[in-house]
Amino acid sequence: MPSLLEKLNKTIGQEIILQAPDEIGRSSLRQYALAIGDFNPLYSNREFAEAQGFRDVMAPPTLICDTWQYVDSDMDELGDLIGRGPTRELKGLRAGNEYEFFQAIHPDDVISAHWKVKDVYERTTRSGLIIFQVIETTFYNQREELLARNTETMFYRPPSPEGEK
Amino acid sequence: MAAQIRNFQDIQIGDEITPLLKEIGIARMMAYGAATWDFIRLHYDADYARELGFEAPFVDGQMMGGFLAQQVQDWAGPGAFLRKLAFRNRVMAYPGDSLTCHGVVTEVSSTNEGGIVECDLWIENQRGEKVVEPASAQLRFPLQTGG
Repeated sequence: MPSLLEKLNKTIGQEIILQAPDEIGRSSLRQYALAIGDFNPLYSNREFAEAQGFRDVMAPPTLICDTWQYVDSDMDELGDLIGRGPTRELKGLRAGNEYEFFQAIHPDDVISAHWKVKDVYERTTRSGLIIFQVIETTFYNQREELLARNTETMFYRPPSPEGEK
Repeated sequence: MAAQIRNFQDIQIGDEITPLLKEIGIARMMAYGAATWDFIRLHYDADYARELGFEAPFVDGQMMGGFLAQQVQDWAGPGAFLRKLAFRNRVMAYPGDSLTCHGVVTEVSSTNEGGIVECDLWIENQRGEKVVEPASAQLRFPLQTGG
């Protein structure tokens, strides 16, 4: 039976493209802004956004970096989307993110997310051995314009030899 | 608030990024899951979270990015464009936590692209624990022309 590290090492280089089936839409922008509690008129008031030089309202910048919105599949009983890719079974937790934004995203953008595992490495920390996995996702619209890049680091705790946790 | 105008010329190294307080509640956590199509029960189902050894459902780590983006955009005003945002999650956040986003300007430079401002950011909970640290942002401001 392969160890967790062996399973994670196998993910290096794996890539998938998640293609949104439709435009991101105004209501998605408002729903995300509500969830954050961020009522910036840039995200909801077209006239205000146009006065700032945008052609329409823009998305709160971090919205598009949550990739599950582009997965066109059912969910399992834990709420996990079945079609979200090769790391679904491995149950990682988030260590951090690095976002880079290249232009404003508007409601008529149809987004594709190009997802790739870049690296897997181990570190000994104060709380024991941790395995880190680095995933880079690059986002484009229907005109293949570069919108954003998200480099995220996930972490995994290998099971102890006694099988605890 | 978000509609204020901040001129690049007035920004100096050491300026404080206006703090932003976020009270964490289970409804907002669930709203974030719904808005991002992340229906994982760990973020709203207390019994399930405890079954897995967590003290309670915990905040999706990427939500911290949303809070920090709001903080810097509110401070910078609508004319500024958030170019980069990076953060490390250190301590989990749970319902009932009060999180405060903090920040300070670390670098200011004029470039062909515009005025570039770099900031260090961090998020603390009500116990003074750093929930997010380190974190940083880069903003691009329009340069005023005609001197």
